[in-house]
Amino acid sequence: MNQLGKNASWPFPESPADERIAQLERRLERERRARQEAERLAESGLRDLYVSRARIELLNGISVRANESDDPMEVLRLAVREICTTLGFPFGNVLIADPDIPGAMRAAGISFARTCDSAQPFIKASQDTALPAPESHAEQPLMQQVPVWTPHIDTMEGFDRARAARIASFKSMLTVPVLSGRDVEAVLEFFSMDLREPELELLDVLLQAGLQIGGVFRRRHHADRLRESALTDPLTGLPNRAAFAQNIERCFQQRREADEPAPSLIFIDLDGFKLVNDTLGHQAGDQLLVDMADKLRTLVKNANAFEDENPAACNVQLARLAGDEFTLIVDGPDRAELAERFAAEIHHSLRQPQWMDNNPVRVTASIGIAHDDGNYTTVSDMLRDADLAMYEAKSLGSERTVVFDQKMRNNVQSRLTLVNDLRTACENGDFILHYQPILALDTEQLVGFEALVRWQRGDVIVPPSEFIAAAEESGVITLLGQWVMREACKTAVRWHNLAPDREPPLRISINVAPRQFLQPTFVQQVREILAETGADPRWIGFEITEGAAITKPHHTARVLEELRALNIQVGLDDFGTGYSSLSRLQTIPIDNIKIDQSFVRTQTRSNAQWSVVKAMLDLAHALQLRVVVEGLETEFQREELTAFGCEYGQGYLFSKPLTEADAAALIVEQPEGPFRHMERLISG
Amino acid sequence: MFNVLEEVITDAYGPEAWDSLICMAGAEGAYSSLGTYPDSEFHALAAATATLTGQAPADVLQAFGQSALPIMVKRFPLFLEGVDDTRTFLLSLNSVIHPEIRKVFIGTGCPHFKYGVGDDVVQITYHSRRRFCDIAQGLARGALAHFGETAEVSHPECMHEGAEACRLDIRWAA
Repeated sequence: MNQLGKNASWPFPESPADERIAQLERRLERERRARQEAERLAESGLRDLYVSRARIELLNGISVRANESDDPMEVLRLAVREICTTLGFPFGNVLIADPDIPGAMRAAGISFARTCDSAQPFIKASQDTALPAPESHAEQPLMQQVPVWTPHIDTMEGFDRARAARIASFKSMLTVPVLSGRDVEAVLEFFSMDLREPELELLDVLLQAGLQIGGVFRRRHHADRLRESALTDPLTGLPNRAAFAQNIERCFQQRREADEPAPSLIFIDLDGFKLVNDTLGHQAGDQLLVDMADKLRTLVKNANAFEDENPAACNVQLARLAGDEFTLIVDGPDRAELAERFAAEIHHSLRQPQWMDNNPVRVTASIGIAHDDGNYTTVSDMLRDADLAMYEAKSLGSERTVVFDQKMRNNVQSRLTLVNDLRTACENGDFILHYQPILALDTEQLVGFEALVRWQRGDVIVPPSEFIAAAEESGVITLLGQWVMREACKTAVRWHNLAPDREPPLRISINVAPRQFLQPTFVQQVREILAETGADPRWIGFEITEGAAITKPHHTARVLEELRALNIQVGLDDFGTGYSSLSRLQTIPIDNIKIDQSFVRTQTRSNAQWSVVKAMLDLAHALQLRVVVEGLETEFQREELTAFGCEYGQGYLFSKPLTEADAAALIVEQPEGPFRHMERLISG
Repeated sequence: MFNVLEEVITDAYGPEAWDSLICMAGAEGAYSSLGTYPDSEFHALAAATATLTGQAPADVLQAFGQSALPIMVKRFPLFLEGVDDTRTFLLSLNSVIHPEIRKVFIGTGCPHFKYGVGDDVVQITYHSRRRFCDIAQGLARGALAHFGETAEVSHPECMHEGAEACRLDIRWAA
């Protein structure tokens, strides 16, 4: 086959050539060259336009996804596909930084290929590749902060995929770093069969793409750190309450779905931690908690190390719930046995005193454990039981472990029933008040009564010792307290009507529980009840405990001032049994103190020890407070206390608490004179 | 393609020959490299050339392909950047040359080639919508000439002869 014109002849004779024609031909030739030059310029411009538009679209596509996504892997997947498709790479692969080895990279499991079969070994090798930290491997391009083009990879020294690259006909590699700050988070590697060096503009576009993807990594790291700090206790670095709640809920649900017992729960509370805080300062307290966390961490690490050898053995998770409360979740077939062994080890680890500021400090722990017997339907029940067991351990003294059992469950159940019944009783008013007379010791004249509540539970009269604690704990006490106050005021009005001219008027002392007294609306309640019943404030008095008085000193001072302004007397009950120092008395605006019966009841004629009582009397009188003693049982006690100058007394010597009717009879029979007929009333 | 044909004819026979061909084929005649013109016009020009030179139309197209390659290489040096032999050139058609053509001549439909590769043979199978397989044969020969290689180019399967696809074999002497 010949090329056109080589041996052929053109069949038409040439036109006669004259000067004019020759000029036109030259002009035509010039025009033709000008056209070709214009076409070349236009083609080049169109190509540049096409290329830059494609690059902009590529970068834009990656940037949009990078800005929308919080999943770096998803963005990498898109980027490697788009770059391969747009720039014509037959294969692209992603390596990510190995989280465990700084500087090392490994295949991310993300690649894109449009190749023939001969490339399969290379693709497989790339998808499995793992590169050690940079100083020891030759693939330096991977650790650069900019895109790098490497030609002749099929013969490159130290490139362990060189042979496979040769088989695949891959000749060059382009690597694009994904940077977050200066950290290389990932590297995209693209392979090509040709050796054309990419333009600088293209490398710049790819650098930008890498930075955009790096932004997704950065956001993910921030989010991870936030999540981590939201779930970590800053002092000890342990998982916090929120993390614990998530973990236990997840474990519990998993076990329930598998129809298996839930993990055992250990609640740990340090005994004596408050003392360390109060005496050595918060810094020492914090140090103690950090040391405790370390001890627990070591115990858990040892247990989990054992698990590594025997994966089915256990899974232990530690957390700090609050203050000095720690918890362990113990999962696995031996969880019950292991949990109890943990408890023993925790006690053991605390036996050695710690030295703090040259002080030997020894704390102990109270530990409660709850095991799942298959009856728990919610995590919160289990948490409650572990907590109850811990409190039970605390109540038994320090360094104790209590496993929640059926007996405790029964107690809890009956406590719950009691509280429910109490609530109903409050609504129905199933209570009665008894009144114990209070006498002036020197004249033996009746001056008032202490109102004492009884629960009319069916046919049984329940004494306060059996329900007041439950009422206080459950909060029912505030309802009950209001009922008592209202009833006592009504009684005061009725009794005033029995002896309207009595001067000074009889006073009914009403016990006010701490929780009731600490209510912000307490004084308001008093005003309302006085208004509602028509009682004169002088006909009633309140008795508050030392505990209530010192819990919130400012609140106490304000409330007592307001009560004083209302003309209501307030006394401090059970004096001598609380925690307040005697000196605190002068800061609390009260009218009288009531010396606890424990100081009086044991005093006998042959074996009397009055020194403490005398000190209390001296102090009270120095502060111009009147003193009431309770628990008077013998004539000896009355004589002695009268001689010491104690103003008032109550007790079985005079009368047990009386029904309202009996008390009324007493008021009528003993208008103003000495108290003489008690035996009849007591026996009656 | 029209411009390349113009250049081939003008180089071989002079500008009058091109004018005469346009008259004989009744073609429009004003072609820009960036324009798109009907294939029928190209076929008419090729047929006129065949009539006037006394060659078979297929031979004219093959001869055109062979002459066109050096012209195209001159006009588009990117096509052969980093390419040192015919085999590499042929294997880069899908990945390099056709994408480059699409960048400039937007809307140009380039066929996608399937390759069969042996030690001394490259088989190219493709579906030729425009049925310009003779030009393809010529281009392959032009490439061999460009790289100074000797190989046999054959066209054992052709859509003109009822085959499903066209196949070109380029076989080097072992």
